[in-house]
Amino acid sequence: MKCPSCGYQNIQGEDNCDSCQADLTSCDGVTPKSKVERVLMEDHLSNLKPKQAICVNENATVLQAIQKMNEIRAGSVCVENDAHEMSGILTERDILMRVMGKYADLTKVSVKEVMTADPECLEEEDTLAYALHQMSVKRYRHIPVLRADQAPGIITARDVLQYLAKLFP
Amino acid sequence: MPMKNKLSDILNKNKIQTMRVHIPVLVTPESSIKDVIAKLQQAKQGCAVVHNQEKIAGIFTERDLLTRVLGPGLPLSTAVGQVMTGEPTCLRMDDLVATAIGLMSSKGFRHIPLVNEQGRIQGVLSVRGVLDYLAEHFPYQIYNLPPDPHKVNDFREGA
Repeated sequence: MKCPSCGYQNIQGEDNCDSCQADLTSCDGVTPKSKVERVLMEDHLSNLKPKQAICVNENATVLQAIQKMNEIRAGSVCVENDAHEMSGILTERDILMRVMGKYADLTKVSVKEVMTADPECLEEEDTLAYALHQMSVKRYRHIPVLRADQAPGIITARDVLQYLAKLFP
Repeated sequence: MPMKNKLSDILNKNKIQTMRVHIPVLVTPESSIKDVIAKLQQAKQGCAVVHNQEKIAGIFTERDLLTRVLGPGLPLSTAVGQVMTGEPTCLRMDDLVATAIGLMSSKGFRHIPLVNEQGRIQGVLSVRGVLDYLAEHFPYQIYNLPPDPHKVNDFREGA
């Protein structure tokens, strides 16, 4: 490993340069080799400009949640408890897999019973690679993005695809 | 290595047949929405292809279920032909990956049916199939990540 500040050739895996004590941790790990790799590894989720997550109360009925989703033309809504903390997420897929065929009356089942509780969230400083990782490995289509000074946002598979398609036409 | 835009090369050369394509859930226009839902649940898919004598008549997706059936409160015994999206945009197996991505990104399609020259249905391409395809081209950057970006170990590793 060549030290970036003095050029001294160090042993592979060294934490600090033997010659000038400079930090070598940035020389470790994967380095981006193309423009796409750089975008994936360095662009933050805030670049995708996540839409603000629309919330419904966990005691709302599934029908109310569906009407909300249709109104905002989205495939998911965030679910919050009475203290306005995010407690889950309800997606189209949850409705297809967990509601249909089990509950005949959508006004008698609460969102809490069928939502995905404690969804995995990312933060706005996380890179695009993490979002793609979760979407591909864990099969999520919607990921809440926690933001420092704003309400949580949400990114979808389509947002990621659109961002990449715009950069690489 | 030169910093060049390798992704466009890949996307503009490779054809859809190199991607993972879903086996379609096939239903007829007369099937009830209830039956279609049962088939989708069994196949764990979000999109059914409605066909008429091997030709595509339309598709019925999760989104159609929410906006056209559950929202307005239609009975589940309604025939799927009445609520499907008719004449969907289709692609062929030998179309380019870039064409599929362009359609999904500009028109907002989440599923694209794939047909052959005779218009027979061969598969369905989903937006997640496309993301998988992209992720597979960058295994070091995507699959090698730790599952949780914010995990800090309570104890130091090693002796």
